[in-house]
Amino acid sequence: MNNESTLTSDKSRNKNILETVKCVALSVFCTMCLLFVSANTFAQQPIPSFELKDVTLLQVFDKLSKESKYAFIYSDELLADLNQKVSVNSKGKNLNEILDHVFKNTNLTYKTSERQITIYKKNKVEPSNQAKSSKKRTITGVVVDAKTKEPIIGATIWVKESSVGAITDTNGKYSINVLGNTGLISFSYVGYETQDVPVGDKTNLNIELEEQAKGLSEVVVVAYGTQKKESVIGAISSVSTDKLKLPTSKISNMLAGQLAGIVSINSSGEPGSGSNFYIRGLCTFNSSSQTPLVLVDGVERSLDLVDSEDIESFSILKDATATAVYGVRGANGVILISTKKGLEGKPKIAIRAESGLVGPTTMPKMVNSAQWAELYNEGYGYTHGGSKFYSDDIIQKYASGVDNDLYPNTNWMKSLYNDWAKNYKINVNVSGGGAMVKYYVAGSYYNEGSIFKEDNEKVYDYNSSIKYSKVNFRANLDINVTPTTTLTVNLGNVYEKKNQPGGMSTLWYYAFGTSPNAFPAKYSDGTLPGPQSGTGSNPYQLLAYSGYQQTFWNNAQSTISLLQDLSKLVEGLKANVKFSYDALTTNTISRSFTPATYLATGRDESGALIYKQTYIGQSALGFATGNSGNRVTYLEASLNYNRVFDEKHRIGALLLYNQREENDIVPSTSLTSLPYRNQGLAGRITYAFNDCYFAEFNLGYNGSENFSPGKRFGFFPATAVGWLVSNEKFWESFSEVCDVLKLKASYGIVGNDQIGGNRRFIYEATINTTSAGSYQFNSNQSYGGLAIGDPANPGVSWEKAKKTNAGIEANFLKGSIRLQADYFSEKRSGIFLQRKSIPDYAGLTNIPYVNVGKMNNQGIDASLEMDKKIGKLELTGRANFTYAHNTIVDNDDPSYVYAYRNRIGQTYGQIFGYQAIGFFKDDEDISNSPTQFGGTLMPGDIKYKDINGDGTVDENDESPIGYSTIPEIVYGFGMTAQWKGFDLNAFFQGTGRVSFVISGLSFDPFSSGDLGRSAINQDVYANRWTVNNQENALYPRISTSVNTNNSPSYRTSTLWLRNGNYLRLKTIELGYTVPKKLLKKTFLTSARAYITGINLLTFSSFKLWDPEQGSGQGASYPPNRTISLGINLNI
Amino acid sequence: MKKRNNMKYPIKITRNVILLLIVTTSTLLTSCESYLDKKGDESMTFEKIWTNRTYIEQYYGNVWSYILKDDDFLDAHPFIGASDDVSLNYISKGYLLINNGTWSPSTVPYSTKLWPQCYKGIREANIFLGNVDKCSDSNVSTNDIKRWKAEIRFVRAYLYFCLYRTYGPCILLGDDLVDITSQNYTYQRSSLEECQTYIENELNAIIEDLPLSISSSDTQNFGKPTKGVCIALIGRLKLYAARQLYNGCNLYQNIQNKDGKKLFPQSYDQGKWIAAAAANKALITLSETNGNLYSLITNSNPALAYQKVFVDDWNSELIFARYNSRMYLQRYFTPAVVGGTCYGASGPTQSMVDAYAMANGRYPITGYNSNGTPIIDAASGYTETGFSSFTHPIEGTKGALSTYNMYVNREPRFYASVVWSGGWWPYTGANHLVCFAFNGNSGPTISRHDYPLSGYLNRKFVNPAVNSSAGTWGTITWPVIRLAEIYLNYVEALNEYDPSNSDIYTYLNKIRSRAGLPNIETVYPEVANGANQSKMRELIRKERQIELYFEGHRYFDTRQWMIATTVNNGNVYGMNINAVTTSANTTPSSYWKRTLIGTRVFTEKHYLYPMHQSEINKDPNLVQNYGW
Repeated sequence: MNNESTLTSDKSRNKNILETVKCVALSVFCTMCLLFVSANTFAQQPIPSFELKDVTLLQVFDKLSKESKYAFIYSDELLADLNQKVSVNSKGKNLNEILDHVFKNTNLTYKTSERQITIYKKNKVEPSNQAKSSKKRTITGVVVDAKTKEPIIGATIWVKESSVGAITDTNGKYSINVLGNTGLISFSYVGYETQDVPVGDKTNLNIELEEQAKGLSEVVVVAYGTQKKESVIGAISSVSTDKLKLPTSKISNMLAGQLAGIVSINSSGEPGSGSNFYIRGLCTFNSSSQTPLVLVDGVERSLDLVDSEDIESFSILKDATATAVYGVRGANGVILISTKKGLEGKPKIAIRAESGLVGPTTMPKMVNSAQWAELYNEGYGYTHGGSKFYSDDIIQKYASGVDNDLYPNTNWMKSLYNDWAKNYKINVNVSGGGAMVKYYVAGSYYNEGSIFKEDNEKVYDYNSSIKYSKVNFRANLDINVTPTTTLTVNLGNVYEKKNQPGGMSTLWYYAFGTSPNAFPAKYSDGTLPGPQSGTGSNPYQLLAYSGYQQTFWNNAQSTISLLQDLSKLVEGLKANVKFSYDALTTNTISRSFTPATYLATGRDESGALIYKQTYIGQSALGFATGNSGNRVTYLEASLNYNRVFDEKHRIGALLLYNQREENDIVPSTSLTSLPYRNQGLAGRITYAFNDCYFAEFNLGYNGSENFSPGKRFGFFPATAVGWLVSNEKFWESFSEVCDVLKLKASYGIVGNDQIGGNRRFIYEATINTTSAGSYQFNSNQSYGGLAIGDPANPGVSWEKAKKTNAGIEANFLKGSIRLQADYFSEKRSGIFLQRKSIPDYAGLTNIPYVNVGKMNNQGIDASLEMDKKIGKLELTGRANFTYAHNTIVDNDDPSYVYAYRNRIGQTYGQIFGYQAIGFFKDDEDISNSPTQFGGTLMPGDIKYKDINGDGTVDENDESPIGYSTIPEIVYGFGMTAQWKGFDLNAFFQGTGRVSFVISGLSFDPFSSGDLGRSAINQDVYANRWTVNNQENALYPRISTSVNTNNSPSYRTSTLWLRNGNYLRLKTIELGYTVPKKLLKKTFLTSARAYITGINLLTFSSFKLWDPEQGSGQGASYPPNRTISLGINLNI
Repeated sequence: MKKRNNMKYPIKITRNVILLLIVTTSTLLTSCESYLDKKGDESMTFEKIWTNRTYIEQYYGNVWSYILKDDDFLDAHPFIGASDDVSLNYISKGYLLINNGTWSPSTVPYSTKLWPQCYKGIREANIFLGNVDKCSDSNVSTNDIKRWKAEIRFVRAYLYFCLYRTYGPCILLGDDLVDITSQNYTYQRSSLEECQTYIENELNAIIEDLPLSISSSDTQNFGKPTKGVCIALIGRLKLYAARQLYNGCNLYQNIQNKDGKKLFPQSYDQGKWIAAAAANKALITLSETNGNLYSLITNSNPALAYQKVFVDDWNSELIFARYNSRMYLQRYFTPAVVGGTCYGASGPTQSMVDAYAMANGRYPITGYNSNGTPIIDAASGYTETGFSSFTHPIEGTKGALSTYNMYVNREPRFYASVVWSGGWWPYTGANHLVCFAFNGNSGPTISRHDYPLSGYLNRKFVNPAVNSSAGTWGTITWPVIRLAEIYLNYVEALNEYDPSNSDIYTYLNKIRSRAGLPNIETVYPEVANGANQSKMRELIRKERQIELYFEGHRYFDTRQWMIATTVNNGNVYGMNINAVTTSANTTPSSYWKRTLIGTRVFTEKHYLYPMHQSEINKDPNLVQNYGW
């Protein structure tokens, strides 16, 4: 395979390409450099020679402005004079000489000022002087909607390049003071096209603003640039950023149901936690590489570090043509976020502040001590001839609560958790700018507490409750350093801090596991209870007496980029260079603590509790620290070309080079201290004919250092075609009904280099020097420490995804109904997996990873939006839907004896288990049924189906049950209603075709073998099998020890399978915007107050805990519901 | 007025910024030829290992590390937890599935620790043997290499022996490494006799290169194989080969490879007993002709003598031992009352307690009625009623206790092996009276899940000098092979083909006399002079059960004698740990009641371990053991 010659040739080819890359990149710089120099000295340079005979002055200006890029300015009164004919020969002359020549015989003269030439009559005063000397005057007028002719309230009027501005009043009227008659006045309002009008000498300017057309005129963010929505033929969805402004700390928690194509699961409500999200479901079973690439301002960054207020646009790229330019990084889809930029205009200050209550959606309920004892007696009775273990007297004591120290009845949920926690968030941003510098500066603060109770006695001087806070700063500057050059600087800093109990890692487990009668949270005399050493923990101690841990995340992101318009060289050409430097550090301080704990064993004569000390305890807090972090540098250089020829051939091209380096700044081994590098080229050609037929070709050529020399780089081509049917002549008759109809299709190959395997340089063999075994021969002799590590895999490569997409976009009824739907199909191959077909007798300690896995994925995603106006009531509705079904084609699993057990052919995450067909009724039923797993059975035990009919139920009767644990259907729909100042917004989100399995101690009573660690879910108490409840039983009979036939941890079966579908009222928001009239005399331009609710209602057949938490027993921080009050002010 | 741009630009600043960018970028780009050409510079490579003594020794230790940890009886193997004489009470451990009978080829407890771990060690051994000759270090002599190779071949043979005793026939790989790039694996099991021969030949081949003994000053080489270790292992191997399970039993006669090759002996061969006796005798001879290389520990207090075998490191009785911290054993024996880390939930079943002889040498219980009550040999003087004042032979100074008569007047080894409720915990630094009753100081309530289900804890392997509540555990030399076992191997084999051989009495009585018991023919005159071979067989087996309790032999003994379907199947009894007491330190009288504590399932297929189903799925040429 890898003989020497192939290696060399591959290598040299790579080098050649890289050489080219380097040249291209350098030439971009050189060109830019030249241009800046030339811009500065142009006036002195001679004009390229040309000769014009008998042309008008206007034609001369035209020619000159083309050659020199100078602007000619004149008033309309001069038009007649400018039509005089002249002749000119520019040879050897500079601009001034040419102009002197052509004006010689006219009554005109000129004045040069930087890059503009103003023409005026010889006998008049220079216009610029006139402007400067002229007095202040007032322009007044009305701004109205071009269509409805209704006045627009609050429109911004601004004299460009000045600090002069005004706002229209409730009648749409404005008045503004100007100097002279030069310059432009800009009229703008949200949702309307901005109009720039020359000042002139009028005193009254009435303006009609056109509403921004929805749909196709919008610009869509695509890979490395933007495209007119009309010409986009890849599968790209974007979401309006208002939809991402929810009172939660992480954006990933806001995505569910918002965009067609995103599958998101938020399984934890712990302060500061985010969600898992996938684009178009899962295409690989390699768990280290299922997540999409996230780019913020074009740089790979964490999604959750962006503040939702700072987002300008949010798009996801789904198909091959949209992602191929990311080559080896793009297979799982790409999320593009760009942050806000300043707009020309007076400084605008926006303030958003909200504060709310956060609480779990559902908390599981456990049995109390009396019920618990009743259950134990029941189970004990089955194996002890019906005798009781706990006497009625003891049960009575549990029930009455006479002695909560010796006969505790602890509701751990109530002892540990409050119903609500508080959160608040404030964001302030200022944006604005002139033609030269535009800025967007923002700061925000978010703080969330937890439902964890605090010990009000404060025995120890620390607070261990969970608290999370996040501070974001952002400064985005765009500087036009020359008319054709824009320098952009984006700076973002995020500081996060989290405080949590030292015993956090096991808190949920013990909170859900500790029996109600084990001990109270605290004894009545304040003594801290705790079980015998090594047999568990008091969850209250873990919560309040286990010390604390603080984690700080410091993240700095900086990007600088330079955009140069090269239209001087080639019309429509732009060059761009971008460099970014990001750094993240995480520091953890742990002050762990284990206090002395006791168990009450009885009472002495005086009635005081007698204790046995169960743990000696520490006298002081422990101390440990942890650090980690990385820094990333990224460099990108690109050329972008866009031009229309003949008014019908629209051609675009992109050539881009990039390289990325990531360094682990606290490396654990010398290998991880080496930088992680990527390098690549991307190219794109787009062509549109008549804006009706579209074609696009994308290419990624990139690689990563993790692959063997010669196999590092790959080509990732993709192509797409589109047809905008509605732009055809023949469509005109339909356009009343359907004004936009676009059909599109794409196909391409994308890669995924995040192949996992948990090592670097997989093409090299390793020696295990860290975890090799050793053998102790005697107290003074032990050998060990070296072993064979991973075998070399010279063929290691990336995963390859072949993606197909076919879509339709249509707008109906003048854009008031907008539909977008795509079918997709993907074949992923080369999934990196640990071989499963090597037998154990080969004796490998490290099983090699190879690129042999295959998986298919297909489905549809669609979105629908609607607007409707009924009188003063404005309604908008939107819905989206994603269905993705994947199939494992090859995971190197040898075939099972019974084919239905094969994981190959099933969905990733498919649950396997037995089919429970009820409970054994009696001994006769048991003897008439197939044997089960060789154990002894009793009435009330789960009866399983003998699938292969061999007369015995064993592992071979396991088959796929239910669906995968990752939903195949995700959907969302919502509606917004606006009436006068009020707005109401409701959004529902749901999932379908998803299952999970319940298990854990609280569903498997007494299986821990430890009576103190045997909490039981109420549902088990209510629905267990008993002699008198055989028909409606949901759970098997109670056992007092592990019952492997019934236990969900031994036998997954349909009995424990639950439908994970849910539909929830994800958000509901009611807002009121204060009428402009009332704000007239304040400094405010707008003010809105609102109340938001998140996750207020959930519809699901599963009620025991939040269905989004999934499998297990709900023993983790549950997803939250939130009720927030907020205000939004603009100044 | 028509107008285009009109503004001033800070052109100089711009130029500087741009120049800066150009310089930075060009610097970055100049390195791009080799941007991705970068590899790990780890200092260690495979070739380097064989150049240096230290590295070779490190690799050598790694090969050794695959030998099963006998003392890790909860997590490494089922040989103690799934044995009929032991009751463990831990959750989610593999032995539970075996005892419940709820295991199958897809759910094989300890599966990664047995078949795969042995083969990992075999691969590493083969790599070592195939490369160590390359050694170029001047500090390494040819004798060093010779001894290393012999020792690693011993490890490989021992690993094959572990496969042999657990699975029967296994795959013999010789010196070859299995090709890991293959797409099809078609290895087959070798026959049982081929496996036995291979192991025996390997051991015989290395005897010459191993020392006869390791001198007492050469402490760094303690625990390494000697000539005696190889001979002793051959003795055990041949005994196993002679026993019922591997000697022509009809259950396995039809197990054959896909090509028709039979994997088990087709008929019984008496000669295997002769060979087994000779092999074990060879070790005895080696020892006796070399000034008693190995000898039984004796003491005027026989209970103490027996205790010392398991407490004194590197004592004279050990032939092959593994050094380790005693923590892995002792914490599982220590009751809650002691404090500190005490997971005490490992002890004998009632049937094991019943097995111990009385002080007079007679075995008190000869069998059980169908309801589980014992059949008592009246001549033994045993009774299960009433209490007596009793002084423990080792704890004597702590004073006499009122003791349930079941535990009074038993043989000394009982007192060195078992802790019962109401008795002393052996730690010499404190006086703990243990109580396993429901709310007793070490019972179910206080100990949560780590309490003895049978109502007994092990005393054997507990070092009374160690204060475990302070977290100190001391060390242990686990007896992998010890002299008493070889004596028992020898007499068992002799009795099968030459019951009147006087060596039977000589060597059996050596063990009994060390334990403070009269000679066997004195207590049971009916077995004198080979008069009753089958009674003698029963007594030898009983002696073996008691002497080697908890050392990992009983599991194989009951299977190879094919008695597990009787002794390891059905009800298991203990004391009544659900008895409620009024004081945590006092065992209530309701405790002293034989109580059903569980049932075990053992059917014919359980005689040998199954290979994991996934292994057979990967190599369809592999043939599964009987019944699985």
